[in-house]
Amino acid sequence: MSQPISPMTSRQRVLAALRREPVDRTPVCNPTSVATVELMDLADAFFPEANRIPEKMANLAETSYTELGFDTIMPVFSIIQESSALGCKIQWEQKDNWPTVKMREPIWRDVEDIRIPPDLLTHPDTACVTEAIRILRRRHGDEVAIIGKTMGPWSLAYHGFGVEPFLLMALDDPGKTMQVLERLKEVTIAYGLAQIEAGADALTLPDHATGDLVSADYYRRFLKELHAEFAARLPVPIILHICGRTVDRMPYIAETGMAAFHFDSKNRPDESMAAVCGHCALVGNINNPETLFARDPEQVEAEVLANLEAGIHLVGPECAIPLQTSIENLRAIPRAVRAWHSAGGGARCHHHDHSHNNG
Amino acid sequence: MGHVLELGRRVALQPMDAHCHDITVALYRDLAPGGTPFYAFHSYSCHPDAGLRLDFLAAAACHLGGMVASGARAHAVAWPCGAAHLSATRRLFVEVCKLAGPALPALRPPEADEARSGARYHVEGLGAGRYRLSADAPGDMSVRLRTIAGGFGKLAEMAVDEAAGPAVAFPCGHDHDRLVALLLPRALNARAAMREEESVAGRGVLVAPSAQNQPN
Repeated sequence: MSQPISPMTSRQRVLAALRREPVDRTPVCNPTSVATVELMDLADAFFPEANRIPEKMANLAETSYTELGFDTIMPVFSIIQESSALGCKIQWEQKDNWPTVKMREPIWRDVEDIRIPPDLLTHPDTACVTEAIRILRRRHGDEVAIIGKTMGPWSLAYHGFGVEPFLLMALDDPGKTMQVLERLKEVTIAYGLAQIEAGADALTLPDHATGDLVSADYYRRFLKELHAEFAARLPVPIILHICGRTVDRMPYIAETGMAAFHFDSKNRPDESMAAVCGHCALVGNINNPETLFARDPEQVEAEVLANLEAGIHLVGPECAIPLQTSIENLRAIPRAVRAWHSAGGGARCHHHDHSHNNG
Repeated sequence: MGHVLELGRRVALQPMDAHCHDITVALYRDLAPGGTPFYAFHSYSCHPDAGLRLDFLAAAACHLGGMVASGARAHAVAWPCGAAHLSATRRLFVEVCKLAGPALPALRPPEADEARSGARYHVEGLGAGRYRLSADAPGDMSVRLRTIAGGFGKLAEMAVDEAAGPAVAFPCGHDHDRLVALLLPRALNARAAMREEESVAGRGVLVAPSAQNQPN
């Protein structure tokens, strides 16, 4: 018979769930971004400055905890910080849109072109993140889980080579592709370690081997071992993030030692739980474009319940939410989680297996 | 830092107000104590001009759309008939957010010209929330008028009575002359008006790498 769980802080709850240990309630987690234009006004911290100025980044990021009631703070809203430091051209955009890498202006054509600059970690756009993490840790102590983000080599290769050229390289020259990934993995490691040193409790590691671009076999051949290496070398729980339909590669992901997989709503919670077979936690998978963005809190709550009933370890949006998402839809997530536990759903929640995973 | 407020259901958003320092303005729907729906303009911005901007937008909604001030909340407005008219209110929000202020513009006449056809279209109130559409143009305009009536249906959830001219009607049974005059130019090309709304709403939504060549 399971013992009642003492009340946990948000940080304790998240870290326990990432280890698949018992929790007092299912944590609400944002491994990517929950920034919105309304929260930018509220925090007086706007894109693009909130992606480039540590204080602004911290002010906007902490609203997920202070205003929305999530158990995590994720200050790395975008996916371009280290790519900027690598020399990619960035479209910084404005308040209502995401900064993006100008991938039609690639900076690399071959393996030899890849140069990791000596200022990778001191470049303003990477140092912004580490400084924001330090600010957040000072402000919030051990109350809330602070999650960093370090991009995987597959995504960095998209940024440096362009999506199409890199995918063609993977098709035509697997050996060269592996050399690219081997070089770029050091960026992933270095930036991840810098964020851990700054105070990150866990790291999201997006590596866009998405279902519509990359097959499960490609994942196994090119990325599985690299991801296992990240799990071994980065001494905090790692949350792998891949968009799209990925249930076919989840069994491979579950064997990498990653603490968790941040999964898309294109994958049903129950089939995803079956696919990882208890070997890693699952985080997600509330739909962004249809539910969080375009529907009402009742539909959000219904998706939250479907995840809770399936035993998903940490509930949250499937990816970075649209910047125009309503605050009431975001607040519906923790509200639904608490209501479910109050109604007795928590008894089923404590079943998470007790095997430890990745720090 | 401010704090999130319980404002009801957000029904429309202007993410960057070009006429007020790029603040975000939202329209929230809530119910007054008697159960009557009202809408409140709101911004979380702490910019010193934000309050004046919200004053203007609420006033413009009353002036151009025929809404009335509601005492339920700051910057709150409601329809005098007590109905929600959600689609029409959303469209009115889009229209007033386009105005620079602070002066209120002239009221729209119940007619609109169409450059493409050279036609002039009219809406004529029939009472009890019904309006007849007509056109000053050579030839048979009945098909075009039916299309415009359909535009009113899309923009303001009005019922279309093709036998009467055609005519359109508000389900509340009350007249909304200013709103109908405001909507007429948009009803001439309702599809473009709706595309405009979708275009604003689509900004800030991440797109899959395969769709945009930009992984996120």
